[in-house]
Amino acid sequence: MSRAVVWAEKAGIPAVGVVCKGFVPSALMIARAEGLPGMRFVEYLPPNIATESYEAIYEKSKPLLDDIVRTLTAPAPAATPSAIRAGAEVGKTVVTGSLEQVNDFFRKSQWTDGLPIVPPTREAVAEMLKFTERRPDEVVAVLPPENSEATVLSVAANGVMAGCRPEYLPVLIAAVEAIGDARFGLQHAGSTAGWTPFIILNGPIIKELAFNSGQGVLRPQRQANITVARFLRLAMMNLAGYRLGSSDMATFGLNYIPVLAEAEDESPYEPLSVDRGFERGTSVITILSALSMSYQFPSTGKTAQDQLRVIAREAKRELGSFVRIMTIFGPEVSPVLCLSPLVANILAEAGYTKDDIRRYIFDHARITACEFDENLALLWPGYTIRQAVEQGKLAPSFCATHDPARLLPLLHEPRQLLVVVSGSSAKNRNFIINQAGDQGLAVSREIRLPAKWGELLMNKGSR
Amino acid sequence: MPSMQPYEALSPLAKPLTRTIAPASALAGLEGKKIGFMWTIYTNGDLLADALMDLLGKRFANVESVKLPAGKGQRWGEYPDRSIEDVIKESAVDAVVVTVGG
Repeated sequence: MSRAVVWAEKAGIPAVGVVCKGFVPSALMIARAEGLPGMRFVEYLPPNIATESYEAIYEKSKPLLDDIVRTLTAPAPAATPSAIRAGAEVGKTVVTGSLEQVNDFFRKSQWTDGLPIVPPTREAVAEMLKFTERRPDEVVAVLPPENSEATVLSVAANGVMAGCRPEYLPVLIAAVEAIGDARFGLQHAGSTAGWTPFIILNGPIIKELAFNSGQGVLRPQRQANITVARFLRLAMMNLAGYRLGSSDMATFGLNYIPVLAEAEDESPYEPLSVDRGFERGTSVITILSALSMSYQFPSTGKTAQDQLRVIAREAKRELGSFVRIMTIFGPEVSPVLCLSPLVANILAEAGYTKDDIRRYIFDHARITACEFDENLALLWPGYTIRQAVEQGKLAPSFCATHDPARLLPLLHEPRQLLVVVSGSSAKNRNFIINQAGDQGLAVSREIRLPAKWGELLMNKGSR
Repeated sequence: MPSMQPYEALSPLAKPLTRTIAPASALAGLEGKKIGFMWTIYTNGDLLADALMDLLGKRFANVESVKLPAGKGQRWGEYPDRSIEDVIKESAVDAVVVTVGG
């Protein structure tokens, strides 16, 4: 909404945004980041507009119209300064003191996730910067919603804070490049849906930096897996500008999830990075939004077909409400199916390729048109598959018949399901990540290493 | 866990881009004006726009209200796009009201 107001004002036309109460700080922050520090706005009072009838909205609009007329006929309001940034220029020492004093200062400044941080001293940051050939002041990405320039130095500072080892820096830089890609849609990360980034890693970097790709991969224990994930949360706060109550409007939110490194040696399939267009052997980071993670369901049965039947049933359960996402936040979506190596090998030995798995899920994880419509009506009362097809949000095949019992897929195309292999080789378990479409669409980036990478690692004792 | 070692900690923040656009001039009044309404997304933002358009028409007999997409090729109720500037210029509206749902 704020962006629409700013772009209208940029065209020389006065514009006013109707902001739901509680979202004003977020709206003003976005407007400021887009170049309009004093945005014309009026407040829509609680309760939430999504829960109100037209009649109630109409009544509340009567006084609102007075506010709108007054706002459009008055000069734009004064600029609203950012309280967070005062005296905190990039590369500047912001506090000197004990570990406790530094942590207190950072926590009060809203620069932490609540856990103690490692102080980003000049020395610690310089040690990390040894692991890149890029200049400290080089801009890695411009990150919404604050539209700030994340530099190599500011990435390293947040990496130190998160507890990352210096040699993780190339991964951190690639992560910021990924979320800075416009296709990722980072500007939506503060939505009330409260999603969190999900990180998948491929390539030699997994072993070089000792990421866990096996048993308990998503437990917060291995330093690389958990601190890189923590770094990304800190980066979203300090480099992108997401803070609870002002720009991060998550209704509940999710904690960060440790990096999922793919078990490439145990997998019978090409890694995800190859599916994403990279050469095998390239170190690649893939980041996408996770709305939820299914339970780690066992897939049982004597045959691969039995296993797939269970996986499709769970995909239907997990993605059944996903139809709202694929309809309004599509057309591209990127949910994830993670198979344990044991299950992947059962499927591969029976001749199933990754494409076969995707096709099976697409064909068998389906809900009735009636259920589909019920889900769409949660978006807007009365919104139906037919309307979505007429608007081009769903393919015409979704309306091939009028039978309410017809079965419809939970993806636009089979290829949209990302399939990865990780976790314990000894268990027949799997999980599914429910993803938020163009809010955090999967983006992959090669992890670029310095020329003397091997030597640097050797000196660090990481090999 | 007391610590006596002094730390000089650097700022972890990124540098905000400094760009500012001049806000548009206010209208002298709404009489005879053409007002564009945009619903940029989420539930019931469309109903709010409908209500405001209806009320505006009742308040000012000579005000024209039009619904605008939030960008070229965008549908009513979709995310705003930078091409809003083109939409606004082509529609020749005098002011814009943007609604969002919940």
